[in-house]
Amino acid sequence: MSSEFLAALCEGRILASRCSKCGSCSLPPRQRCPECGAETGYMELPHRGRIITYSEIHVSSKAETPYVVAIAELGEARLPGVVRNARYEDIEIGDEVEVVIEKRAGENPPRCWYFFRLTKQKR
Amino acid sequence: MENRDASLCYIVAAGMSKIGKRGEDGVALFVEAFNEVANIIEPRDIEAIYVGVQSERYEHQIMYGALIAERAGLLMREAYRVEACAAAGALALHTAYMAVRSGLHKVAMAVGLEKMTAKNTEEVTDSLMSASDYYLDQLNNITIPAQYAMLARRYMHDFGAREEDLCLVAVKNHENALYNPKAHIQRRITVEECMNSRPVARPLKLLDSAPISDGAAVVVVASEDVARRYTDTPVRILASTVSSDTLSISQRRDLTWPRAVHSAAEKAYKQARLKPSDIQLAEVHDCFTINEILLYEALGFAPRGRGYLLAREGETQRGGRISVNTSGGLKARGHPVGATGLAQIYEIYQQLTKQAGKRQVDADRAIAVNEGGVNSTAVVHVLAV
Ligand SMILES: [Zn+2]
Repeated sequence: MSSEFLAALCEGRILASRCSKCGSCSLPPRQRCPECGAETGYMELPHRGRIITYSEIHVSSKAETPYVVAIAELGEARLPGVVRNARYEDIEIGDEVEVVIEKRAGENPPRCWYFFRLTKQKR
Repeated sequence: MENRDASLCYIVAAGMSKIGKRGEDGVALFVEAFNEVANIIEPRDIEAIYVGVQSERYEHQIMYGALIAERAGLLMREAYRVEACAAAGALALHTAYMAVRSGLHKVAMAVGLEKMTAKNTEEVTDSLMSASDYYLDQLNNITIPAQYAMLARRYMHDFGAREEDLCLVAVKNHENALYNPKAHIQRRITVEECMNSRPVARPLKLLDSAPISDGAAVVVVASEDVARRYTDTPVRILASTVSSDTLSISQRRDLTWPRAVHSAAEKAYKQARLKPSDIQLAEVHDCFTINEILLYEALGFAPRGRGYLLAREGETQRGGRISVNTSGGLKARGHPVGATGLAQIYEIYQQLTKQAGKRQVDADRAIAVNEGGVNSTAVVHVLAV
């Protein structure tokens, strides 16, 4: 169901799954609830949420360092991502971010991906 | 009182190579570790071999089961590899334990090895990253150190720990390694040095992180009816348990609670009929300093949110209320990923059989926590003499 998540991103939607029995939410969506094994249904997430934790990466083979990453709570689900417009010092837990979806460069899938934008004014 | 069950299972020998930046390949390091047990047991008695290795990306080699059988002179034995990133070593022991307890084999050997230092830090980071969720973490370039860093950031926010508190774990483990001749790093460090070391994934720094190491370790397990043929001091495996959690920390309801470790520990305490206060010695998975603190709490050594105070108050120093990571831990003994779980068991075996030399503590009940991913596969062993 990661393919549904990726397809939805290209339509500007963030798709999670929600358990029909215990209510637990997961990303990317999956057919069975990781907690209780019950069948899930799809749920669309809001594009704004709050940072629950973050880091700034200084060692990586994948991207130019440093870059900031965070986990944001979007409604009932949690999504990790890169925060493009902030340094470590700019962020506090509880700050609001917006999910920005964009076409992805290069030939390897996925075609669309996302990043976070810190929405608060700089102190 | 003692449950004298024919399916009981013992460690009768353990061996370990010197850990460090080694010139030899991984299999040669295995032979170095194996030579240490080959003097104690009759190698031909080994009926099965289980090997923990993290990745073929370091040496372009898989098929470690057959390869180790070949190099140990044990062709035609049952032999295969198990995998759970950094938990592979303890998982190999769990497999040996199952083989012996089931009655399928009387003597089985767990092996762990990794030869990492031929690759640079970026390549190693990338190889370790395959332990994380492909979509959520790999596509976002969220490294494994960054996931631990995010646990640290949240822990500090929720419970008031400071970066200095994390560094205290590193200082303690470096101090312990001074007395371990097989440790990768034998150098005393200070909190100040740790605080000033370069960032890896903020708030974690170089000296909060385990080094990249080469090494191998082996542990031989035997059944009740044959164990005393090999040694007068067999170490009993009171419990061997495994629990699983999500690959991505983002999908956990409670970020700073290593739930799989807690779950495996609960199962282990129940199996062993022990409680946390019965434990005198622990080897825990301090791949990053924050994790040692989280594991104190998951193992029941400290209440939730207060694990960092154990480090601050010196309760987990060698000879403290619970001696934690007397070997130097992953932090200073070193972290050859696939070997780490068995390097922990090697230390406990040395301690419980009173062979730990200058770092000897007085203990007869111990616990080991080895984990893979970000506490995604947790393997717990309780050992006693
Ligand atoms: Zn459920």
